[in-house]
Amino acid sequence: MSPLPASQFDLFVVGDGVAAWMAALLMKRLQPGRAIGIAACDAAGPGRDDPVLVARPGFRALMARLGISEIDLLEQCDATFLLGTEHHLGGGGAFFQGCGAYGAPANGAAFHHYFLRLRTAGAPYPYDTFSLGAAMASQGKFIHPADNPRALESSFDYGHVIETARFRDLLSQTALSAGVVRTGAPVSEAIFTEGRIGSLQLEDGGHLEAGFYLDCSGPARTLWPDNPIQVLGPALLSQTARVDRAEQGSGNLSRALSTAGPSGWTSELALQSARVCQTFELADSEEANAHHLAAPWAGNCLALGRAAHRLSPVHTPFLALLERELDLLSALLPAEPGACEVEAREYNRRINETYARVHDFQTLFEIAIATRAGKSASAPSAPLARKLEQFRSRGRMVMYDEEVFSESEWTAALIGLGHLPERTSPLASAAPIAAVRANYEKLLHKIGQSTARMPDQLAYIAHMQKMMRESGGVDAV
Amino acid sequence: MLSDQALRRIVIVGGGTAGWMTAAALSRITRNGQTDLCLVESDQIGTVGVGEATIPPINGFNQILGIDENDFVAKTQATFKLGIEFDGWLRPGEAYLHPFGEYGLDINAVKFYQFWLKYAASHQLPPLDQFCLSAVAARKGKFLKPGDDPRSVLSTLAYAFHFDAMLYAAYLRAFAEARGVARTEGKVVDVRLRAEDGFIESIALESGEVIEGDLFIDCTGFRALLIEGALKTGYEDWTHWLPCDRAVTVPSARVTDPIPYTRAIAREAGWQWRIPLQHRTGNGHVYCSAHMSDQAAETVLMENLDGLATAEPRRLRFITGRRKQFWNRNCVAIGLSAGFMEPLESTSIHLIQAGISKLIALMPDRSFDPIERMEYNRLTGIQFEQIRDFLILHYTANQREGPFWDYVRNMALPASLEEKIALFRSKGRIFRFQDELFGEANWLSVLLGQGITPRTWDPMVDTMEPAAVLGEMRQIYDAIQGTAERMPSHQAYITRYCAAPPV
Repeated sequence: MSPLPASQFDLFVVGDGVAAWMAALLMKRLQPGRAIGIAACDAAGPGRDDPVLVARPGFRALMARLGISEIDLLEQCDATFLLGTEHHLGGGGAFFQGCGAYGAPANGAAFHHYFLRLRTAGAPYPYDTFSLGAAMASQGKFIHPADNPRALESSFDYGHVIETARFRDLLSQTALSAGVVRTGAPVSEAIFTEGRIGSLQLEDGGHLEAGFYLDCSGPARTLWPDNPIQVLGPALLSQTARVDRAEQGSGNLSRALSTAGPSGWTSELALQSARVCQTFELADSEEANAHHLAAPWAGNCLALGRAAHRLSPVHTPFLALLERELDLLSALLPAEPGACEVEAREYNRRINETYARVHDFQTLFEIAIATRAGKSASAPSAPLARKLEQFRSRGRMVMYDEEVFSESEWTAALIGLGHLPERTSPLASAAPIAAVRANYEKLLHKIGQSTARMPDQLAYIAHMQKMMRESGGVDAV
Repeated sequence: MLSDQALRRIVIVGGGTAGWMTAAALSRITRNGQTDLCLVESDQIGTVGVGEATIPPINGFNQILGIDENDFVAKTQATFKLGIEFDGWLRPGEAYLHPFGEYGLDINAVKFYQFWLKYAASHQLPPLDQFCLSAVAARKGKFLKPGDDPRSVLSTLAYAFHFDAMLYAAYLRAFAEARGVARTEGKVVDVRLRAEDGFIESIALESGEVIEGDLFIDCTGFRALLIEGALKTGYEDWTHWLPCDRAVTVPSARVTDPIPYTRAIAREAGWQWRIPLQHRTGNGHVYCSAHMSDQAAETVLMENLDGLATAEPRRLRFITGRRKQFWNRNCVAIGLSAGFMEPLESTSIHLIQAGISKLIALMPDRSFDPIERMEYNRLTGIQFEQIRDFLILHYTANQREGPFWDYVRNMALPASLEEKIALFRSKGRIFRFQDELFGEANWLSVLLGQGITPRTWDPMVDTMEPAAVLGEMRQIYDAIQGTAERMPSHQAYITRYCAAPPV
């Protein structure tokens, strides 16, 4: 396909990784009549992404908009279903951080208040034994959640582990099929006119123009390299180069493992055909500062993915952030090139808050690791400090706008990392402990029965694939 | 986990709606066996009885208490409320409804109203509120409780109540006393503070009785006897944004079956409410004293009743705004003592309910860790400001004549509201902030009702086949109209399930 004349691009994406292709495909799906172009640049490429990506539950809705099915992810990207992360803290401590429910609220008080009462009364149950998702994850089980909100099997949620290179290929093939136009020559720089990008200079000497630009060129920020950044704070951990691939074949696919070491930790994520181990170490230099662009949307250019932020790799937040960036872009999509200052302000306000809240969640873990390693930990941000204080004081969880991690994950993480409330809700305190214990032991019994009936994930995937082959197709996720 | 620092006594000062709502809700925590709860009120002091109209979150409050809805409706002379009609707010002779519940159904993850914005004029679509079941049912005088099945149109209905606030307080008093709340009759004549930290130590009654407590809840209304009288907390005045500062109220005889919505009718220097109850109509005229005398305001009200007045008019003065701290030392202000905003969107009782919920979530012990107080004040401050912005919106975009309406049209707006309006004007986008009470549908109805229209619609709308979209809109319209038609009349529903005994 020969390139369209430069002036006919409505929107142009610069980059060649997952962020670039996903953005291009989504824009084409949302506005099929518009001319969407994409070109690589020297600085970007799939090799710069993590070897595997972690998708959170909301990712399924995004995939549906992209027209990519769950079975596509399973068959073409070696993907698995992920129920959460099992954290091993050393010294025997461990906890599960999943997206689904833990226990059930009662009498207007959240479950963790009752858990704390049970604990004080000597009941021997760890917090995550009250989570169906945790029970499934520990045994490598999986089924899709039930639709009936009253069923116990509706109480968990799941994401995916996806191999990055294959996912990028799937996205690019789908985008090109959908009508995204790839230009031949990489982009070398943007030419500015009155504070906006007027055109792009290509490495072969040519140029192109578009009404709106998406910079997905990674840390090089090819389109707007001097766009100011805003520092969030130290990102204590850096990713080492060590990636071990072990043959899979069997084993637990339903959980991620995160094991603390003396000065960092190792994470292990399961694809269908391999287990990918990554090691993260405490970093010493200020270069590791977590930051994001102060204004990711400036003029007619919006930076996405690693062109917009550099956060710690803790919890592999890249895809979750990209999902949020694209959701916001879709909600604020400019109809025409000019006159989008209001939308840009709103985008920047909300996405910057998102980056800050993810950094808060990462800080929680980094403080724990730094403390164990005897290093000084960074001070929490004011919103995180408030959250910690409120939880410590009486188990109240403060949730802000634009949180990526759910309330149940925050609660599991705080309890798992030892931030126990000093008091519980007076509503939970008023219930007789014998009744509380009987009620939640009944739940444990149901969780055990339900999990025992479920298949292993590999068997479940094989069953899904067989069903799909027999039915001859699948709808998007 | 019970602390040896648990509160030994909570003292609620003041009855009325705020006092008895607080007592009823807090009665649940006295089951810990460590905290007792008492309420002090005086029959000599009248209550304002503000907020006869409510908004849907009241249902959550009733459910948490375990209140039987039919019993509550019958005993408080209540009717059901599906929204508020704003008559003459944009310009005289035009009215719009702010219904509870959503507009239409999203199509391919695009908001329904975005399609309506595009096609309303070109395809002569019905008004947007004809795609909202609450609005259609309200206009037809119909009512039925929402269904549980999310696939049913009936599940989109949302409702609240109109009730007699005096009867509501009496109902909750019986509820609270049955659950161990002790009521003390008496007029507070002194509030004693601890010398070392200025905390309230006790209150003294006219009878000479002294009541000590760990936590005091000020439900004394505009007098703010504890939070202001004793603790000198200070007040933030918002009159420059919401300049109405007087009200005159009067009940009138019921002349017709009650309609299932509140009416708010714009007047020369303010507005008039009309709230239908089972046994009477509640009326009030909120006005700005800088633009209208008390006598003129009373005349306007009395000349615009739909039935004979059944009592003498009663005048109220207020300063719109909020207490600088809602929780100061060991005193929490709930109700009118916390602040006041005119009842244009029926938020008074909701603010009481929200204050109680936050207090339960942040219930202190005797150590009174300041972080609980600070968080309570932060969250309550945000909520007051969000409601303030929503109320200002009703005034700012008017096309009425007269000095009062000229002022509110031209006044400088809070930056938070300016940004919200700008975002809507651009492409009809509305975003909700921090658990905001009023959501997208609420803002949409008032923005459009006040004539604020987006320059264009969400560009996603243009990507969808018009015939298919219009077909889907037609189906939604038919389903809503058909469902509303089949619902019983509001009066028939009340008669069947929850009629009050004759007065």
